[in-house]
Amino acid sequence: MSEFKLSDIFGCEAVKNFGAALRRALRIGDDYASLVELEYAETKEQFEEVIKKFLRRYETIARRGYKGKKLSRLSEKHLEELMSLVDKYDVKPVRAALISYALVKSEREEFPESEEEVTDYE
Amino acid sequence: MTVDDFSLSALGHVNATIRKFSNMGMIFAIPTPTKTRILHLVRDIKKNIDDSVRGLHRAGWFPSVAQIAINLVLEELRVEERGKFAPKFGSLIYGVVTKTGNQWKPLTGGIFPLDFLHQIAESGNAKDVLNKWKDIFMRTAPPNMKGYENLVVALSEFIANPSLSNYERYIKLHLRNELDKGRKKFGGYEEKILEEVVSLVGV
Repeated sequence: MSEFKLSDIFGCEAVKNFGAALRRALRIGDDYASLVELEYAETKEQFEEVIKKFLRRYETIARRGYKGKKLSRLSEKHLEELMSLVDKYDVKPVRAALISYALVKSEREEFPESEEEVTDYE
Repeated sequence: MTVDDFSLSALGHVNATIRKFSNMGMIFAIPTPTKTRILHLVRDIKKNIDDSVRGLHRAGWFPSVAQIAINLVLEELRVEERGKFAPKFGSLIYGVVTKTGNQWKPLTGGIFPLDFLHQIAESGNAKDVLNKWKDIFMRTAPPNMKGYENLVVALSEFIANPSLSNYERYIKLHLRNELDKGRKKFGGYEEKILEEVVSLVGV
C-alpha cells in the first residue's frame, strides 16, 4: 500500500455524506447496530455487507424524517466512490474516517434552536 | 560537559520537576528544554501546570503524564503569544514511584514524546484542539469520576503515538461516550478541527 494520510480519505465527499448519514442515524434513529457492525468490519466483503444493511436501516430513518422533514438520502455516485476508496486504501482507514464524521458537530448541535438542514441528492 | 555544567543541569531539572501524587503513587515529570529561559520555565510554566493539573489522574500514571504534556504545550503557546520569546520542550521525562507498605519504590519511567502535540500546536486551530483535550483530562481526573478511564487512556495513547489504530480506538470511545445517555459529555469536534487532527494521523 502506498503512503497516504487519513485526511486524504476524510476530505472525500462520499465519506462526508456517509459519515453525516451515520451521525443522523445514530442521533435521530438510534441505529447503534450499524455502528457496532462497522467497527467490526475487517474485509471488503464485510464492509459491503455492513453498508448494505446500513442503507436499508437509514432508508427507514430518512423516510420517517426528523421534526416533520425527510432526511437526505445517499446517492449511488457516493456509494460507488466509497467502495472505490475501500479498494484503494483498505477498510480500516475508511472505517475510521466514517466513525470520525459521526463525532463531528452537526449544525443542529452548534445552534440548538435551529432546524437541521435537509437536502436531497436524488 | 564539565562537572559544573552537569551540576547546574541537575539543579535546573530538580527545580523544574513537576510532582503529582495520590494514594496510587507519585509521578515526577521533567520537561526537557530545547529552547527555554529559566525564568519562563520555573516561575510561569511550572506554576501554571501545577495549578491546572491537580494530583494524579484517576486513570493512572500514563494519562497523568499526557495531561501534563498537553498543559506544557499550551504553556508554550501562551508564552509565545506574548510575542517576546517562544519556549520549546523536546520531550517530557517521567518517573513513577509507588508505595509498598512504608516504602516508596520505583515503578516505571520513560520519555513522553511531544512531537505530535507540537505538530498540533503549529496548526491553525491548535488552541481549540489542545483545550478540548485538556478539558477531557481535567473533567475525568477527580477520584469520583468512574467509568471514563478507557477514554482517557485511549486519548493518552493516541497523543503519544498518533497511529491509525490508536486514533480509531480513541474516536470510537469518544463517540460511544457521546451516544450513551446518562454520561458526562465532552462534545463533538468541529469538522475543520478534526480535519487538522486526522491530517497528522499516520497510516
